[in-house]
Amino acid sequence: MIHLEIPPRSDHLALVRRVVAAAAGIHAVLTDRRIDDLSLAVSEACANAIDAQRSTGSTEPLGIVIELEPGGVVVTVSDHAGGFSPDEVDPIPAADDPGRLVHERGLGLPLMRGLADAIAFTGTPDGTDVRIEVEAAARH
Amino acid sequence: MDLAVRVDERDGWAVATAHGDLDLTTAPRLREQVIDVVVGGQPCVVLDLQGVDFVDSTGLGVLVGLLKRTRTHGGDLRLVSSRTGLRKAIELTSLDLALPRYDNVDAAIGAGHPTGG
Repeated sequence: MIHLEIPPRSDHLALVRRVVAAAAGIHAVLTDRRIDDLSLAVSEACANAIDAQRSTGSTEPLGIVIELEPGGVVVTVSDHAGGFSPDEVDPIPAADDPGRLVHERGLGLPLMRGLADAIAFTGTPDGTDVRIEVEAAARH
Repeated sequence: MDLAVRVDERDGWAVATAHGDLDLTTAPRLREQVIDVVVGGQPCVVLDLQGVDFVDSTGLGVLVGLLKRTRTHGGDLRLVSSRTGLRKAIELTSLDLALPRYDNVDAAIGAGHPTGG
């Protein structure tokens, strides 16, 4: 298990992606394409966490835990922003909906859901844990 | 990784070539640079992302914003990228109809000029 802590600042996102990709690469269970999926999903989770902590004024570091499992890699991102419910986020319109282009933000959740094989949001005493699972063989 | 953007003129288009990562940190800079080109009188923009290794949701949002901005000014934004990561991100966010991609700059320009010229 690999633990990483970063300040809640967007200029650390590239570092997180590289650490996740390097850890998954050493593990040698995921293909390069699946490692890209994992890196992007984790980067989105961290970007959301940074955004959420900025809005609550928390400067606590974000926690990132990487678990190398026999069938894949699990990454958990922990923030200290007081809690969040993914169900309260408006869904984006379909590709052929003329209103689609109004949505320049809010793309992170659909991306994370599409890239990960499993994703879970769990409330903690002072924030949210986002658990992202990518398997060697994609479920979709 | 940082993002470097260079803008050239070609056949009535501004061709912006980007290298690096297009994410929460770097996407605002791309937006500013392309908007400068549009506001400066060239709303027809080809954005060559072949050298971009990573695009996140903020980067996708900026691409949507730039597409609207160029069209508001009577132009268009055409993306060049054959990379799997960008294609997948565009599909997962249901942007594949809004943001068609071309394999190279020649194909993007060859698809016709929005002003009919």
